[in-house]
Amino acid sequence: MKPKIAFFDFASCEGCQLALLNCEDILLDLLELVDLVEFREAISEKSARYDISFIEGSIHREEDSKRLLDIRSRSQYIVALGACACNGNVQARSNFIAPAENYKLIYGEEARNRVQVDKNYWPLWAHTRVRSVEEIVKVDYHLRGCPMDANEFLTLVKALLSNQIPHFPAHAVCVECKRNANECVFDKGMSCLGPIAYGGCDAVCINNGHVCDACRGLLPYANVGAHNALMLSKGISKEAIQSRYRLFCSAEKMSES
Amino acid sequence: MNAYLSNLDQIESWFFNLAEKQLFFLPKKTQGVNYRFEPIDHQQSLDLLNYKPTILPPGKNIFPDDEILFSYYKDDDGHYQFSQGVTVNSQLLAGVRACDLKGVYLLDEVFSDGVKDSHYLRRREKTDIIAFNCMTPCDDHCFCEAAQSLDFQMGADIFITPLFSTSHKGQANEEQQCLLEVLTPRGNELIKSLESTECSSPQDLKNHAIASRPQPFGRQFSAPIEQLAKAIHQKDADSVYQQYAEQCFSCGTCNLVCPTCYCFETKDELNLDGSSGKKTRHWDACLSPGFAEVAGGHNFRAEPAARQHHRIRRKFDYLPQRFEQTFCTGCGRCGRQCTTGIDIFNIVNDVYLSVQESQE
Repeated sequence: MKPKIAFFDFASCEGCQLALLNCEDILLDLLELVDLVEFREAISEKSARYDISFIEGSIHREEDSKRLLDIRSRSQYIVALGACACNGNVQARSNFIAPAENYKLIYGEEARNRVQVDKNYWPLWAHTRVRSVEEIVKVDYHLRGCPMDANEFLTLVKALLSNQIPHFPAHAVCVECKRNANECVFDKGMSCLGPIAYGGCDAVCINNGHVCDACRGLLPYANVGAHNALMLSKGISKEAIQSRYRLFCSAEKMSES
Repeated sequence: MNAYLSNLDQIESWFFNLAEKQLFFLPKKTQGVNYRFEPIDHQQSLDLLNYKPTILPPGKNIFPDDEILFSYYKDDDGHYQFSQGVTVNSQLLAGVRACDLKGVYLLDEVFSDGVKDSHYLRRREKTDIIAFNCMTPCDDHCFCEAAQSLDFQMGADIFITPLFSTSHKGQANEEQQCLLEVLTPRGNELIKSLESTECSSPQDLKNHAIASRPQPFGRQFSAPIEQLAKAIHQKDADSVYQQYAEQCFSCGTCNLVCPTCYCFETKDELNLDGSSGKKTRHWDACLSPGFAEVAGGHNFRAEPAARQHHRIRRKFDYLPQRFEQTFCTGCGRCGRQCTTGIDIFNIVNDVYLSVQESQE
């Protein structure tokens, strides 16, 4: 029997699922091997058990975490798909602001005042913290990045289908810049989070003339202290550095420091 | 072997001529401040004299990342069929500096030692090298003289020494004479298409050029390299390694840009059909935390200081014991490209000084 694969989305742009649909050249071959039972971007069909559940998006409301717990109980493997599911992505920046202040920033003062007397005014009010999937359930594998990398997706699926353990080395983006003989971003007079960020993306942003903002999250061994000193030595202000650190990796490590 | 005299103008036309016959790599400036070995391009001006060592050393053209070791598929009878790697084309690396030439020479030693590495060696056989002697240190990071790789010419097919002052800018190319020493039969073939005159007293000309170089050439260690190696061998100097480890990102840049780092990992890549695939090898880095992690999850060098220590001992102690050559060529790449500014030159000096102090 073919393994049952499902995609579930929470707070996200569904761009990771679209990134997968863009792999047209392999998609049909892949569908020969698996049974796709839930995929809102393409089909809607339900199943009681899933072999691999891909979770896209960050978790905001209580009902979302209940839904996630239910999916976990019915899945053999849970894969966090993309930056939102892996580390909260940009929306987790709101974790650094008091909920009421955040609400005011987004919906205005009047809405903020109204919600304080009527808690049902806007259901999103019920969320106090943007969470990654791993903060709620056990995650078997992470497919990092904004959006996720289609090659890593394939590596994972091929490994699981052939009963192997998929291998995603925890190395810095610098490794891939060297493999591509890229000019270092710092040599170009710009600054980069590559030395402390998860690679695996083939340094795609730097290959195309941009910088790394660590959308794949901070490495578990990231030397944030040394990186901070490096950024300061380039004349970047403390505030700008903090804002840069919080852009993508807010829910992970910076919230502790 | 023979020696010839020619000027930079003639050498340039010769390069373009050779490039029509085979894959020809030459250092080329990036859009920023660095250089890369890239296929020669007719718009390009030769920058052999003053170019700063390339981002990756030329040896990587012989030891490429993501190299296919073998691929396989299942035939109609259900048998697996294997084929080794990909077709290797001949290539010419020109403008290789002495430090990088020594890097290639040391890779040759390593990959020919014990069980020969056929993947490397078959590429090496198809690689010709035209090396270029340095007349001024390439930049502030250079310490090739101290690392004993200045004037190194083993492994080159042709070795070029400029016979004029390279700091004197604005001189016309045709006035800039160079000495070309042919070192191999392959070099003899290559030089045929160069417009040149035969040189009867190459050693005198070369000695004169070398004598006019700045002294000392590049940075110098606090002691001769043999003494440094002894200090590194004798004492662990943990506090020195610890001090550098505190700045280290463990990104592995120093390993990946090193002309003598040859460690790799292999990867099995299965195709979606489940019955065909390939085995590839990828550059690895001993500064990367996962490098010494083994089955079961134990890591022999979990701490960054232990990894830094290991790297220094590989370059100055372990490999020199086996191959009787220092495995640091003084090219300066690791220090130049480390984003946090860790320089192997400083580590080695500090280890030496700390061992000296502890003995006083």
